[in-house]
Amino acid sequence: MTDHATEQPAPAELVLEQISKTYGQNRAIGDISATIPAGKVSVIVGPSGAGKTTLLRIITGLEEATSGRVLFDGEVVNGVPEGLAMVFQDYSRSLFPWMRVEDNVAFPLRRRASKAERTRRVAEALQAVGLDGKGRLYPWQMSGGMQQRVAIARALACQPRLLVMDEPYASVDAQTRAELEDLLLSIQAQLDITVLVVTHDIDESVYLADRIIVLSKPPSTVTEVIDVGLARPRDQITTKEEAEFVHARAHVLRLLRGTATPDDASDVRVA
Amino acid sequence: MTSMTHDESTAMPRARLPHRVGPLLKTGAIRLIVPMLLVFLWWLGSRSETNGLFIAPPLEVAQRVISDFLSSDPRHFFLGDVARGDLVPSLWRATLGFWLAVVVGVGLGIALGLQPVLAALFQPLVHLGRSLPTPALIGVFFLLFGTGDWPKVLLIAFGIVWPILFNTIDGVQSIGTARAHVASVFKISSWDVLTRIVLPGAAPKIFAGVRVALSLSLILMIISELQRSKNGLGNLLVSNQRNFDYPGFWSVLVALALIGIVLNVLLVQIERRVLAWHRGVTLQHD
Amino acid sequence: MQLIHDPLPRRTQVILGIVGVVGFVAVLEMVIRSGLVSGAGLPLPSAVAEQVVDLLGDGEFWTQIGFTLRQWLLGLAIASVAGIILGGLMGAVPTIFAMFLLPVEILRPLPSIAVGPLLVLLLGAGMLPLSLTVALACMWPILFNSMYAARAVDPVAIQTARTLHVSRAGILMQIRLPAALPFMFTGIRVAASIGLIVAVSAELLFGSGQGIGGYILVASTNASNLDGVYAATLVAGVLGVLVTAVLASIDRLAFGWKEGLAQ
Repeated sequence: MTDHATEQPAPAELVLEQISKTYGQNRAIGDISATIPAGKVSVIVGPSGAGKTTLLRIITGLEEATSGRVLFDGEVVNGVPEGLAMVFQDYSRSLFPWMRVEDNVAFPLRRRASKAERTRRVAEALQAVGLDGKGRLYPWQMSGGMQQRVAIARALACQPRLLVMDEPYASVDAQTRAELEDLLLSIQAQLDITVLVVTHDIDESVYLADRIIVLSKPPSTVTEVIDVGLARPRDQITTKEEAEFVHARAHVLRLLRGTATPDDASDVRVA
Repeated sequence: MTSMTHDESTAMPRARLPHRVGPLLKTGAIRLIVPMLLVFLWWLGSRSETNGLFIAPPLEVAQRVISDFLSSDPRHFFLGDVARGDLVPSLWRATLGFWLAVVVGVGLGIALGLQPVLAALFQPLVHLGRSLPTPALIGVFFLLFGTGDWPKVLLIAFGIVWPILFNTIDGVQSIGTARAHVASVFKISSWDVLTRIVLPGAAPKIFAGVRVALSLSLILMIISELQRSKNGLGNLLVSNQRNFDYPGFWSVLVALALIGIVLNVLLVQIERRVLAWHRGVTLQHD
Repeated sequence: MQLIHDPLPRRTQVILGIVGVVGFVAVLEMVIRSGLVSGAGLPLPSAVAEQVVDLLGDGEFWTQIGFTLRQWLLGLAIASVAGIILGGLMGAVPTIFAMFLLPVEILRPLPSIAVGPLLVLLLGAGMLPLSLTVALACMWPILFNSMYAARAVDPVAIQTARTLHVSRAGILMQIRLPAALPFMFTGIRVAASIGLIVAVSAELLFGSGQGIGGYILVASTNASNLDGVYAATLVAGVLGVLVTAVLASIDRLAFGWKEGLAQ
């Protein structure tokens, strides 16, 4: 995990311009504009039903917006952009149970890298997520947390410039969640990639983020963009004791409940 | 449903028999009580005044099976006259029909499963096909495809293609949008999606369909030979019955049961190889 | 290129299904009429449809349908009783499982249609041998699902009931039985559609001219009434689709809660 800075490409910047999405009569996304800065961790939080997953599907090019556009390093997204990798919420459904762990990780690299290159990148990715030596197992022989590590390794093996994660830790227990959060932060710091996480967990959003994008209820709009200035590397105990963490957390919670307006933010710097 | 029952039978304790001989004999004895009782009842039936005529005694039937289906001649692969004259042609036609149905059913099923519009267009027809009493069409098949092996092979294939087709469509559609999204986010080529996601993902359901098709193929094999046939086990059943040769009739029934068991064991072995991962998954969920 | 697609909305599926049937019939009619494919015995949809209308207007044919349905129901009932009792016992008592496993595995692959003629010899002509043939085919899915049903009860549910001081009889009636019912019903549902096909086939192969199968037998022996064969086969097929659909919706209505077991 330390000495293999193999031609990791530069992190990408993502810009959302006035995205809206309507299903028939149902307006899921009202108007969303935001910038996901390169090389940082951005987190989208919103109340349930705020169209977070829809927004992600638009960002990843799986779905088209009704209006507005997404720019990936200045280029309009039209289909899944090259250099984007994704970790899905439900690892049990996004991993392939008929493939061993190493084949799951190597799968996106087929036809894109030589056999030797694939083996090397799989080994690196598994090492990066702390699963070296587990390549011969099947996903279903592992715990939920380990399966989600496999999903992260699969994304990393693609050497992404933007890593998108949809509620990545929603189906694991609290302790595993904390470990995976720290894993993500250390990987991000070492590989220098842009990370975009969608979550409904407020603690997690503040803990991970350089920038938090708070969405409103549907038809969702951006309630506020918060830049979090907490020092890195962060720590599950000390960071969460800091005054700025506590304030930011309370502020996000109030925004989600609708009892605060962006102006109330006295302790956090507003972008 | 079918795969569920299969998991039941593989999860039985017989895999972990104790190494001591005593309990082994005991479980063996328990297993044999009912079969022995059934054979005894069979024997009793054969002695009965009224129906004994139609029920051949077990021993005589066993002798007939051996004398008809086995031979000591290695040039004939140790197959007896009846085995060569009737069993082999029957199995040949059934095999041909079976593979025809597998190829058409899986191929068409994948195409339909991948194209929701096509699947919706053909859905009612597939449901109808599954419910048609295929044996009713036997006369029509003879008329349409002449005499010889083809009408029989096609009747078998037509009769058994439906469960394979239905289950393949179902299996492909059950792969789920999550895995489909993985495929598109990671830009996996269509060929790889087909061979490494769609086929393995649908395989458990395809196998469930093939299992149903396999037992149906035996039934249709018999039925296709009941009329206008020069050979085959179905023809043998009819001619033995006409000649009041009941030991012969019963020996064909025994042979059919044996064939069914052998085919089932073969399929289970193949399934076990191909679907090793699937057993792991289902065990985990138990 | 995206190979796997999201499913269509239900309404679109229904509309497309109707379009598919109409289109298939129209194409078949045109292909045969144009002489693109020719030969005796091809099913011309308009001629078959005419026959279907004739058949359904004929009281005699309804008697045959009635015979087939009664024959089928009798067979299904026999198979249900036998399958549920034996399967339930095999699922609940390991010794009984060991005792009956071998005979079940030996008898299961035996084509019931091949045993049918023997049953006619032993029991004489009539409905009973046909129904027993149906029962022999229907027995296995019911048996295996009942076996599964007997093991389906969540031990935690029983422990919960015990802590609530529910009696043994109460546990049987209120916990074991409700947990087992959906699986038994699945078995019966699967068996029902197999059974209808076997019922018609049995009438055709060794019946005495009664039932839908009997009609098909008569219509195909003189080979002049092939449209009648097609029409009766089609009626039997549609009957099967209806039975499947009705049982599936009963399953959804009565046992919808079992979806909750999936995860």
